[in-house]
Amino acid sequence: MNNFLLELMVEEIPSRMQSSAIYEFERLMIEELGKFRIMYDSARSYISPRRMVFSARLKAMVEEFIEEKRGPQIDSSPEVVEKFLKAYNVTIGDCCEKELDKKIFLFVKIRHSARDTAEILDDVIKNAIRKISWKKSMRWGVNRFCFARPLRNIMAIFDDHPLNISFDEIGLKSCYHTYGHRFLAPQKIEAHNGNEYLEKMKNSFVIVDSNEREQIIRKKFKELESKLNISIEVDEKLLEEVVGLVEYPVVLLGKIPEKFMKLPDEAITVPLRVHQRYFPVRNEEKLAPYFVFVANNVTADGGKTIIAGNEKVLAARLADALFFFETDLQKPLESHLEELKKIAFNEGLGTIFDRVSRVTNVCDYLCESLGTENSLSLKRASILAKCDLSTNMVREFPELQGIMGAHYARIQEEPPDVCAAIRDQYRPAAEISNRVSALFSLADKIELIATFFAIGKEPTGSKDPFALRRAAIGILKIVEKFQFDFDLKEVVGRTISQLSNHYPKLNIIERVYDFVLERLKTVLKESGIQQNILNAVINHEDRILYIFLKSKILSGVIRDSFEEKLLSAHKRIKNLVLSNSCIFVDERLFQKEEEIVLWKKISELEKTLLEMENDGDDFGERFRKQLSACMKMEQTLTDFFDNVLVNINDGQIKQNRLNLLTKLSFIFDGIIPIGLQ
Amino acid sequence: MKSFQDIIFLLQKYWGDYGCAIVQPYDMEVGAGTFSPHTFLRALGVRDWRAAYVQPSRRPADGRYGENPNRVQKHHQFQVVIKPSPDDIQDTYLKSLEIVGIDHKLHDIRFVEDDWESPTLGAAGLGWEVWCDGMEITQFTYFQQVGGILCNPVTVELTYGLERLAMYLQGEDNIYNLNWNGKYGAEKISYGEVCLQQEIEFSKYSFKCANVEKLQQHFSDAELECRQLAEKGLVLPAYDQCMKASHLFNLMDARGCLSVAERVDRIAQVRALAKLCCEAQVKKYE
Repeated sequence: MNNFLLELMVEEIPSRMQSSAIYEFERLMIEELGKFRIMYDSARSYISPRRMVFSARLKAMVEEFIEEKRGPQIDSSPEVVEKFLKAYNVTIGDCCEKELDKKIFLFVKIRHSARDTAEILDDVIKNAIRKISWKKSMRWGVNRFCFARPLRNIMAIFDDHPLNISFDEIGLKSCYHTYGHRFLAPQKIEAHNGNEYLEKMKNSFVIVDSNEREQIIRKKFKELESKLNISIEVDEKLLEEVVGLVEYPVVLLGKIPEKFMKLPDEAITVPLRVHQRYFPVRNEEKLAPYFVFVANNVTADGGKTIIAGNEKVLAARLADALFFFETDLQKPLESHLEELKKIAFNEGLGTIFDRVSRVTNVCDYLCESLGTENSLSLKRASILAKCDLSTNMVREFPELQGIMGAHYARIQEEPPDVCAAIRDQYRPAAEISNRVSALFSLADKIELIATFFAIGKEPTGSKDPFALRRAAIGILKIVEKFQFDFDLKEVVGRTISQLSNHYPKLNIIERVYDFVLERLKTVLKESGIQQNILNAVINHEDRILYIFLKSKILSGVIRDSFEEKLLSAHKRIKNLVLSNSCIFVDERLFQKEEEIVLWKKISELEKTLLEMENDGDDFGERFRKQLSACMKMEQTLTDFFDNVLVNINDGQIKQNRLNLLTKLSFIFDGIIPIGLQ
Repeated sequence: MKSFQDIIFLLQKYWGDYGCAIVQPYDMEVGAGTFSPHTFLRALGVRDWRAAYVQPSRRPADGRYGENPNRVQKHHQFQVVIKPSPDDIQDTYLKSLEIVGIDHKLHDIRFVEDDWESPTLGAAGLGWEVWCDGMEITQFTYFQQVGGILCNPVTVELTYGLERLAMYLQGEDNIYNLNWNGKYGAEKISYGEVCLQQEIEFSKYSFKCANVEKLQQHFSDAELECRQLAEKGLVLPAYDQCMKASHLFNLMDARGCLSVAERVDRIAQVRALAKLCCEAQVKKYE
């Protein structure tokens, strides 16, 4: 086994692409080695902003091997056979016949003679480079070749010798050397194997291994934390990004001037993280006047200039933020409603203010269905919810929508549930814990979907510019989490009735409902509910909450084979009664004991079910009880079918028996979704 | 200390010596150096090109009445365009930073992904924003597409934000205090002396006084004329009208007289004009 080392030097590869790129590059290299039957071990790969590295130990020779190729069937036309022979440069005498799936094919054995690995590596490397698929790639110079960023140097060494690879697409020849850190060690560096390479690069201020860079940063963070008694808020995604922005991480600590610390936390941390890629620092939960960042350079002044520069950039951003914050506080939040009248929401849907009025009304409709205990807070929340959109702060930092609104509301002493609702409207259902937030978020999303559908801007294919699919899933998650039971169609109808446009509104209600239903099917399927249950329940129910609960309960039930009997009995009944809809039963026409028992049981069941309506259970619990009451009929039904013949000649008795079963069928239909049987 | 004009002189000398034609700012209102035909139209076709120039760039919506120390409605870009993009362009660029006084031994200079896209120009490129100690000082872009047409060969565009660079080099927090001419005391001419009046007056104009009807009218006129000129194969005059339309759009946007839908429509209209000009240009040099 001999050492193989390949390094591609690239202009700064976007951080977000690095981990998937190197994963793919290693996979492709291994795939190509396999394709050419090059034996390998100890394969490794690394990535930094400026380089992609693959190293392995390879066998120096690829031994002779014989490959069997399948040709056409023996009875194919002469042209086809000729073509096959020509393709492999063989004669018919070289071929043999073999049977495969009861057909007889020509086969030929191709002998590949032994080759030096070095001469094959050219193809291996070029194929792998060409096959990397980037999320976004570019051309440069006069080339048509695409890569994430311009590829500038290829170092390829096998068994201590440079490989002579000519990458013609970009006029690049491979060489024996690479270069170190852009500023700290720009000189040429030669290496012959993976370990030597890593060692030399380290001395040239390049940590090629991204895991190692991450560990260095984490270690430095720890040191700073214990030294200064602080905790650094490590956002894992940000850390990954930062690891991909530096070749030689240098962790530095900057100060935030005290005067900015009166800003709400998010007004500091968002510019820090999102705009500057800095890490916020806390001191016992409280935001501390520091920030930590990762530079890519070691300087003679120990980073002093770099820190001062970064502090200055941050201070300018925070000075803006503070100015905006203080300006915003000069007027009450609701005074922004006037401004909202000037901000267009969307063509045909008026201004943001118009939207606020509509959502406020949707909140009222929901209160009518779901109880009015929170109606005051809900109303207040709906008036204030969008006000922060016209504040200076949110205009400057759109990521702070909802968050600033909640802060401003808190400062002007609005009730806590109102503040929470303002903040939570942009959060996923899983993070919403109070009822006012849930109701407002629900109203907001219903209004969004309904009105966009009303003006014909529903999502098509992969295009969903207003994120209506996400809103629909939000509705479902809230309904499930808070067990909200309401008639979506009715609320949608009332929502769009507020629009003055003349559109065929009935159809819109159905379309919105179907749209939400589609998402519901997806959500339920993902949670493991079988398709047949889903279809049955959806045909049977039109309340979202009921669909949720029934599907989940039924999917639990049907896993037991015992209950399957009930379902098949229900099916049998339905096949017998067909279109009969008469349920008048004449006890005098009973002839068999089993008829009498069934009749008695049906009456009992009816009574039991009626009682359940009033016992105050929630929907899910009641459904569970209803189901188990129906299940108790199973034995009686089996006895009935074993001993009573329904289709007999006597028309009167037959009809009476049909009516008896029809009655039961109707009861079952009310509980067990049709189609499930 | 490097004055505002020193930075311009140094960059002009550097890129001039490199082989760029130092051309003069385009004599019309443009939103960025990219709009200048020296960049935009030259990025098309196969002819080699090297140019550098200062381009005063107007963004009416960024006006702050001269009250914000960081933001102005008209700023200065130093623009370098080279086609085809040279293999060592990153190093050449980094040397230009040294020339103006950014010593990479003391600073943290980084290339952070930033893909550029201009919806009004139908143009897109990939590249980075160049950070110096956390501050963006240059936009570095490899053009991929202009006016909907693929660029081949690829042009590289470097756009230095001159005000930012100067504030950084002079250690100045307020743009209006920047030293423009490099003199001190009574002889000093500051950025404010040169630019403050225009900031105040143009902010008022863009936000409050621009005649909305006239803007709409001028926009339609420019659009029509651009189409007619392009038809006749007069690419540069047609493109002037396209730039005019684009600036009028920016004014209407700042004036706040565009609904969301109108805004989308106007952008599409300008993009269509830019495309027209690009197609006419390509035809000319086929």
